[in-house]
Amino acid sequence: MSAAPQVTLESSDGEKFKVDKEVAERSVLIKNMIEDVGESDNPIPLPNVNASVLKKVLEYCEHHRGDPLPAADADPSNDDNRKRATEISDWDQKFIQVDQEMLFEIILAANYMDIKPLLDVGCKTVANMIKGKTPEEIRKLFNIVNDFTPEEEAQIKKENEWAEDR
Amino acid sequence: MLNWTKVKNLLKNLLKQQGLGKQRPLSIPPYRPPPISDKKPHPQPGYWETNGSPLLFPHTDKESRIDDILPFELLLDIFTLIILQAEHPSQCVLNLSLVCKHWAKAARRLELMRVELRERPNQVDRLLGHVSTLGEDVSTDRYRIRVLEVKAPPYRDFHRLSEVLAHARPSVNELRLNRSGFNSVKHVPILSGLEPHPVDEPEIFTTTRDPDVIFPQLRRLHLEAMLAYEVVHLIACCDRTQLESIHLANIQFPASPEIPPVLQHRTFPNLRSIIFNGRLPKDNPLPAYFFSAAPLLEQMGLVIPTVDLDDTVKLLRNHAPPMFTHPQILVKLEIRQGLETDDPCLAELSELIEERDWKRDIRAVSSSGSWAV
Repeated sequence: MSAAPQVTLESSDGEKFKVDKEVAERSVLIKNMIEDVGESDNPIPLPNVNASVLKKVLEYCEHHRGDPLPAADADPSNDDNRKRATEISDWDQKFIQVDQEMLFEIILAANYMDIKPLLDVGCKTVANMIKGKTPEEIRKLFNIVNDFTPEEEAQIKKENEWAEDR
Repeated sequence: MLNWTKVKNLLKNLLKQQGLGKQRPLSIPPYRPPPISDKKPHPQPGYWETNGSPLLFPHTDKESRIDDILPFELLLDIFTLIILQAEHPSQCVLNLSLVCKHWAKAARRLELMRVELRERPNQVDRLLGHVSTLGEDVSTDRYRIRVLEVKAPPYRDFHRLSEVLAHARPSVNELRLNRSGFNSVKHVPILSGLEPHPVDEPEIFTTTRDPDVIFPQLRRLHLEAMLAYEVVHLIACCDRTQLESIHLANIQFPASPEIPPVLQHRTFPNLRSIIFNGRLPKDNPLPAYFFSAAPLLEQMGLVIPTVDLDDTVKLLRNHAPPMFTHPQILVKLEIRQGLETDDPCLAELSELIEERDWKRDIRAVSSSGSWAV
């Protein structure tokens, strides 16, 4: 039995990762690059992803290597696609238990490498963190500075009056 | 959004600069991801405590990163997820808007995404007044109603619904209308062009009025306690569109074996599911109609009395399209007795389900309770 074909990925800080082609091709970016450039022993550079993030991303791709790929023509305007599967699987939940900085880096890497299921996991995780919190709680959670003047805050509340109970 | 072509070209050039195909093969050990521990992570500085248990995702000692790191489009995606799931979407938009100016900009893009009309006086006036202040540029998300819910009873402005629908029509993905408690406005049109129907309900099956409104983006239609003529017109408005599911609850369809003319020659190429949550009169043509008008239909829910089981089996056997996999049948027992498992109709239904390899979802309900068959 012959070994599975492999490719080498190079992170922005020069670390190289040799992975099965099937795993690397969970990324649409890498899949397209391999198709365009052809197979090569040269590492594929990923200048926007550092080694620690790439390691996490590959961990995700390895675990989900056999999963069906999302349809390329999925309609992004269909909110049902977004609402569907609002739950995050147990494995994915454990996988994404990282500090905020790494979480955002994973989301960015998933966006850059075009790994939609990982992007969904990241976005849903951040959405779950925000859900049900007051503005002040959200600011504390993400260390965001309130840059509104009292007048600006009042103006926003006024603009939202159309939807409020009276 | 990133321009993938540019990225790919850039990376191709990088590969060329590195002497593509001329380097020695690398000798790097294969990457093996570390196993994921079942243990919960230890709390670290920066964890938020709630009810004594640590919250995950601590922020580090660095300055805020979410605004610095995540592009605006990703923030919009995250907000979309939150608003679609929120119990009170308008309050949710307000909360997001009050965090900071950057978030306010994103939240305001989505402020009309999910509109919920409840028991609020003059809410339609205030909504349409608000829309009128937004200007003429209808290209942004800010102007698009994607989910419209009218929660009754008693939503006071039901008679103004046609105005809201006229605004939501081009963009709405999901429409949930409930007319419960609105008998007093029974003859008020909910669609512009659909005049009040001054005659008895059965007349709907002789009307030939064509709908003049379509919902090009509508995917989910959930109608409860609506009038039958409104239901058939709303469905007719989704002719050859994206419509994927229809849920009809407590609709009083008249007893007539005729297909309503307004539904004739319509097709629903993307319809996968229709649920009739409420008993249809005997010989109602709608189930057979949808089997024929929706070639990709996979699921149909029916509530039937025991005596109609035989006709239902015939309907499924003779009319279910090839993609159909999931009959959901609720057998309503008229008298306080069990449904015999050796009932010949039930046996025939079971045989049909086995033969077609369908999912089994049959329940019986009586005054003494409900159980799976």
